[in-house]
Amino acid sequence: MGDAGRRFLENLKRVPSSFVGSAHRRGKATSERDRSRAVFSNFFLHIHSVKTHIHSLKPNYTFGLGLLTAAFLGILTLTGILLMVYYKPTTGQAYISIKDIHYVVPTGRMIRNLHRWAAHGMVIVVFLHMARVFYTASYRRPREFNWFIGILLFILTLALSFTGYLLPWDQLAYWAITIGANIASSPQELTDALGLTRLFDPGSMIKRLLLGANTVGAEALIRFYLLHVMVLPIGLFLLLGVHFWRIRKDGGLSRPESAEGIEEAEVFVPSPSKTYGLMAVVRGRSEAVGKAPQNTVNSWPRLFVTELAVMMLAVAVVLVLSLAIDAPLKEAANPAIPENPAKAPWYFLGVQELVSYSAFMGGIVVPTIVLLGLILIPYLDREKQGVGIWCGGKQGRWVAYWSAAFSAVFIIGSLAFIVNFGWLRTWYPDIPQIVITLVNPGAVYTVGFAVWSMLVMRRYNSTRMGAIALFTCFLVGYIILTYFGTVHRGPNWDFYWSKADWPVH
Amino acid sequence: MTEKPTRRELAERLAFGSFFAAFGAATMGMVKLLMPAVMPEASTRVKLGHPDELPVGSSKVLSGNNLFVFSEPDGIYGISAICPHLGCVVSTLPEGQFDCPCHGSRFNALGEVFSGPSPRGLDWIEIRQAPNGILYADTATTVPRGTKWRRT
Repeated sequence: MGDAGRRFLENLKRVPSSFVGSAHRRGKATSERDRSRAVFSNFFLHIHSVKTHIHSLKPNYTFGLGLLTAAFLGILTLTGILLMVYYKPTTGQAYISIKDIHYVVPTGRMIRNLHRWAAHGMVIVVFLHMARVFYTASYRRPREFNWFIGILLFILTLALSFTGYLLPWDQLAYWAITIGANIASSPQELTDALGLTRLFDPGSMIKRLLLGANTVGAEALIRFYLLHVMVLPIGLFLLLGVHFWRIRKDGGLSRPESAEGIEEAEVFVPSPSKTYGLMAVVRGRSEAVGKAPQNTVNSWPRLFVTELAVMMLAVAVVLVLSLAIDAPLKEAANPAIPENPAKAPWYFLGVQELVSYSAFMGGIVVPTIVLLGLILIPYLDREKQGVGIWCGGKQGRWVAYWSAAFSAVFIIGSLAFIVNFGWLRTWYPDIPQIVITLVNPGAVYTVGFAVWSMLVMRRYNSTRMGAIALFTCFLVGYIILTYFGTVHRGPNWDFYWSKADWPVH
Repeated sequence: MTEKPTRRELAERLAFGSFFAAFGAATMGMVKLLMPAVMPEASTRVKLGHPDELPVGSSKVLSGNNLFVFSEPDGIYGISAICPHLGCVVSTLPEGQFDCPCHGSRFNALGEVFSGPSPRGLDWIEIRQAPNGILYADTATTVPRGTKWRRT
């Protein structure tokens, strides 16, 4: 055997280690430089900067909420693809295939449970993440556009959750979508009152676009399926990419001024062949030569290990839930008999409570105002101080507490009033519909909260305080209405203290 | 009045304008696909039977068609069971009222709303007699409240 043959055998023997080495070019990171390289020479790890500010690692600042959202999204994507293997989006097969997944498919029940609980988990942490970002004023310049992207992601999350609701084609699904589609067509309430429906009917156009028909049926199922597994996920992942990218470009996570501090320090000797701008990307300070951001640690391993731990936590939570509680499935859809009560998913029950006064005001106008208000927050509050501090300090915390109390008293009081005495139509049965549409609890709450936050803004001469007041009012209002719709509304949307009091039929 | 664009700027604007116009037109064309030309629905015509099969004072519930039919001395009429609020199916109460399970709208025996969020009363459905004497209802055709098929 010649020399080449010997080398061939040598190489063959070394394949395992040389293959691993070709993918993972450096061994264990033992130096500062290795740890930096671990990040910027790895496709997956270079999602983060090489250095992470220690403030960003504080667990009680972010609570890992954004990361939890991403973790739940990961679980949802994986389990969703697995469910697609057996799910059949036709009216005749959908319900049966879900039954099959539940009772026949190996691990099917577990996968479906995981998908369901991760979806609930994602909605919850998205809310909390938004609240965290708001209360720490992290939407301020230069992050205002990323706040906007975040609101779009929030809408997409809810839309994904809602479209997923129809797919089992059970009673809950069928009637939730019927109600949802009719909310979409509720601008008719206004055009009817103005006598314009004949000429201009955006309501039924949206409904037809969504359902592909006038009623929920086979066309609606395939459209919602397409939205759920294709259109909305593509949008979500695209925007998520922008969201992550902007975090880096906007200088990492927000932090209070007190945590800043970039000082002159002899860190490394610059060499002209290297771009040190890659290290420690901080806006406006890309040439950190001879200067180094203080208070930073290497992202590898600190940040990445923390993130893995948070993701494991997310998986652990949904695993335990899925083992303990099965995802609900009602009887097969029956277009002749609605569920009584027909309730939407829990995070829409606050809206459903408002819808039970006026479909157009509660289902379209108030949510649109809330979303527009959320988007505009960073453009209306352009104060500079207080970034990264919860509610911007003691004064802000007081404003938040008082606003929460105001909102709670206002909403609970008015709900008690409505349950006992009814609303306009109870007193004046012949009242024109336009009055009902314009003057109903949803509108009253919105105006009440706006007035309250205006007063707060003038009292403290601060747009930030006004924003805290408004956001807190709506958040607390949302929570109370959701609770009320979930627990206290029973058959025929009547008030009951608990489910045990529901009439038996 | 802004300054007059140079020839180059004008060409640039035209170029971008044509791009967006083409993009918009293509999008509109694709959206058009989503609007169904024909509504994929079961027939809305419901056979009710000969008038003699609906004696005065009787009523019928056609739950598959979401329709109530009432026969009274002065005629036969149909009331849709679909709540105009958000499309749930109403049920009848013993005292002749209608009641929506989803958001609590209530209607009187004529389908007029007297409580709850429904923006209008229940729709009245057209009832016609075919030449062979059989009565049909068309749930897609509404008629003004009080319109009945008169016995002759």
